[in-house]
Formats: sequence, structure tokens, C-alpha cells
Amino acid sequence: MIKPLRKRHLQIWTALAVLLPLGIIGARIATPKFPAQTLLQPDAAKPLPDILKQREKDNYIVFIRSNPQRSAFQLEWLNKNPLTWPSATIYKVPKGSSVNKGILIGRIESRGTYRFTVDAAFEPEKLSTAQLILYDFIHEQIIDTINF
Amino acid sequence: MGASYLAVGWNRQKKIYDWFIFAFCALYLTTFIAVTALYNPDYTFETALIRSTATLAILLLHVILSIGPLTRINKKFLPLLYNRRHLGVTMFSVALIHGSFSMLQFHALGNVNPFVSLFTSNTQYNSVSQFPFQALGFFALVIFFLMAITSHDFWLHTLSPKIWKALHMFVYLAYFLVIMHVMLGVVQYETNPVLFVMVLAGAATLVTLHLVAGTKEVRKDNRIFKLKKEGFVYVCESQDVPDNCAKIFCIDKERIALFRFENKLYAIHNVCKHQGGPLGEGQIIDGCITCPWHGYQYLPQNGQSPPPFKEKVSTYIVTVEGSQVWLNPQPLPEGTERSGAAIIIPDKQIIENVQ
Repeated sequence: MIKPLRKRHLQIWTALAVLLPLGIIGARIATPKFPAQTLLQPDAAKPLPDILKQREKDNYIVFIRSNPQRSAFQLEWLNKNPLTWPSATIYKVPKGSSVNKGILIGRIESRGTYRFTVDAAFEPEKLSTAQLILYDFIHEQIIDTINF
Repeated sequence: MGASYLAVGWNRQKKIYDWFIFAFCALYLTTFIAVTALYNPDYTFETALIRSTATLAILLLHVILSIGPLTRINKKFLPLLYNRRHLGVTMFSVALIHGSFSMLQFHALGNVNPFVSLFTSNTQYNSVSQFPFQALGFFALVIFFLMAITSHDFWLHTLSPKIWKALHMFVYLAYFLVIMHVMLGVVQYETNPVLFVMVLAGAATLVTLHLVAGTKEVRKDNRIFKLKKEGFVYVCESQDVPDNCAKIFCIDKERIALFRFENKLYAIHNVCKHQGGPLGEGQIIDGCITCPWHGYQYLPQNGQSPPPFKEKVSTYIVTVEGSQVWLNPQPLPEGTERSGAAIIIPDKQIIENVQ
């Protein structure tokens, strides 16, 4: 190596000796205390025993579950085949409305089973006026609409 | 060193080295994916592949970046330097698999162009924890791509060593981008501090190695030669130069390599014509000074590459007085023939060697 090149190497690594710790420690300090993907439900959520409603599509099945007292409700999303969208969100919207007027229920990924705790608005009688929308939030497009 | 451009100049050593790299990469990826399947069965194969190739590429990058300073600190690491290019291309290939599968999994399944999606799906450039880290990885991969495709000697000659070297020094920018890609990406989603500690330890090791090696070089450059007479400076004792090897001296801002070959001393300019490699850190093989970086060779008596090659470096006049070696730092025209300075071996030493 020629002298100017050696000098440049030393200059670059002196700069990196400052920038790298700044970047690494700065990013670590900014790390949220809880994982950022809070839309994903914990795996531990167990299915409620009663199935109130069920809709089956080619790649997934959606269940509305409840306990015998009908005091708790659950939306269960079961991917039969990998979805062609890496991640998507589920919205509950009044029939005929857009996603903007919907309530975000949660986020799913291409595989697996997801369970979301939902409120009494998911009682079968009330659900007839609403629909679920599977929404690709990255590309801002509706993937599917589910009516009960 | 070859008279014409070949796709890759593989010899037996390089083949062994390449097989070792391949076996290591295959073993690493297999183990990573198997352990993931065992402990996280919900993960898809694509996710396991993305993560395994990411960690492997970063590990290889750290090894690549540590080879240079390690060879300056200890010559035993020189064989790694001879094969650094192969390791670099391997690292790029692994990183490319990581990048391709990431694009496929996160950006290629919608109706938006994956590259547009990469830069538009997240535009929170004003946030640290939500920063679009994928873009950093993409730019690092572009740098690695340019380095990989220009790693052949054809591009070195076409671009000129100066431009080529300047291009390849972008690896340091790429390294910084990779580290921030990890820190603003996966580390933001992990509560386990192991990854953060590993990244910090890797960066600290590299910075320390480079600064130690760089400081050592500066000391070598700043050495003052006090003893002078009639254009010559006293540099060392003749027995200080090991057989078939060299000592390097920086006089008047120029590095000169003083080689010992068949009990004669020869001095040539330390910089190889190929890529600026340090000739004085190489050895004399088959009667030729051999550059440690890529094996370019020069004859010690005239600084010329053996025919049919045409590379030439400057030579210098050396004299030996008793055991003292004196060197004239005024360079002779490149390729100038001069006889080596015979080393006077004391009779006592000869008798001891015979016994």
C-alpha cells in the first residue's frame, strides 16, 4: 500500500471508531421496550370453546368463537395455505364502507393461526351488518372481503 | 500472475481454500436452519433462509475486514490475504440470497414493482425505531455487487489501480450501512440483547484491529534515520534481515523493501505495480520477490517481472560495511540492474553453522 492509501485507511477507521458506536448505541437506546409488532397476537391465546360463525375460503377459514356465557368473543384466523401476501391486516367495517371507517382487529402473516380478542360487536346478530376486510397495508389494497 | 486474463486462476491451494469456504457456509446454513426448525417450528423456510444468510454474510464480512490489519500485525495471516477476493465474492453471493429472498417475501407479491415497494412501503426517515432499514441493506448490497463484478484483474487494468482501489474502499461505507441495517432493523424487533452485544463486539474488534495496525504503520513511516553519509542512510544490521524475506524502511516518505537473497541484499520500491501491494511483506519464491497480495513477481537484482511480463519497480543502491547496512534512498529508474550487496558473514558464525 502506498502512503496516501494507508493514511486514508487510518482516517476512515478513525471516523468509523466514532460513527459506529454512536450508531449502534443510539439505535439500541431508541429500541422500543416492547416489540414493535404489537398487532400480532400472542401465541398463548387459547381458542374459546363455542364456534358461533364460520366462513371458509380457498386458503383460510375464519371462526367467530365465544365462551358458553357469551361474555367473551374471539376471531380466529386459520391459514390453510400460505397467503401470497407476506403480511396483512384485518378490519371490521360496516357493510359497504371503506377501510378508513373500519376498526383494526389485528395483523396476520402468510402462515399460522391467529386469534384476536374482540368485543360484543361480534355477536352473530350484530355481525350481519358488518363485514371483515383483509387489507394489504403495504400496498394499500383490499385483498378479500368476508361476509357472515 | 498470468500472461492473459483467465476466468479464475485456481491452483491447488485456492481449490482447498474454496472448498473449505463452501463447506463452512453449507454447514453454517444447514445448522442454522435445522436449529430454527427445531426450536421455532412456526418459522417458514424462507424466513430461516433470510436469517441464516444474513448472519453468515455479516460473519464473513467481519472476517474479510479483519484480514488486512491482522496481516500487518502478524505475517502468519498472509495466506488469508492471498484468498481474500474469493471470500469477498462468497460473502456477496450469500448476501444476494438474503436480499433476493427478502425482496421476494416482503415486496414481490403485490402489484407494485418490488423496488418501488422497497422505498415506498416505509417512509419514516425521521424515526429511529421505525427507520426504513431495508434501504440501507439494499445500498450496501449494491456496493458489494460493484465490488464483486470488478474483482477480476481485467477491471483493475481497465479502471486503473487508483479508481479500482477507490471503488473498493467503499466497502467501509457498506460495512457501516450493514451495521445500521441490523441495528435499525432486526434489533428494533428483538428484546434479547445478544444480537446487540454481538454487533457491538464485532464492530469494536474491527475498529481496534484497524487502529492498532494503522498506528503501527504510522510509527514505521515516521521512523527517523539519523546516521547518514554521502547520500546513504544507515538502516539496520545485516543479520536483521531474514533469508528470502525483507525489512521495510520508510525514508523520505517512500517505502523501500530490503530483501536478503543468497546472502546478498537488494532494495526495491515496496509498492507492487499491480494493486499497490506491500512487496516487502512477501517472500522470495523461485528467485523472485513475490507480492503477498496477488502473487505478482519481480527479480530482486533489477525490479523487473520475469518475461513475458513487463512490470518494473524502482531499485536502490545498498552497501554493507562490516555488519552495517547502508541504503541510498534516491531511486534508480524502474528496472535498473544492480548487483546485490554481499553480506559479510563472520568466520565465527560460519564455524558455528558447520558444527
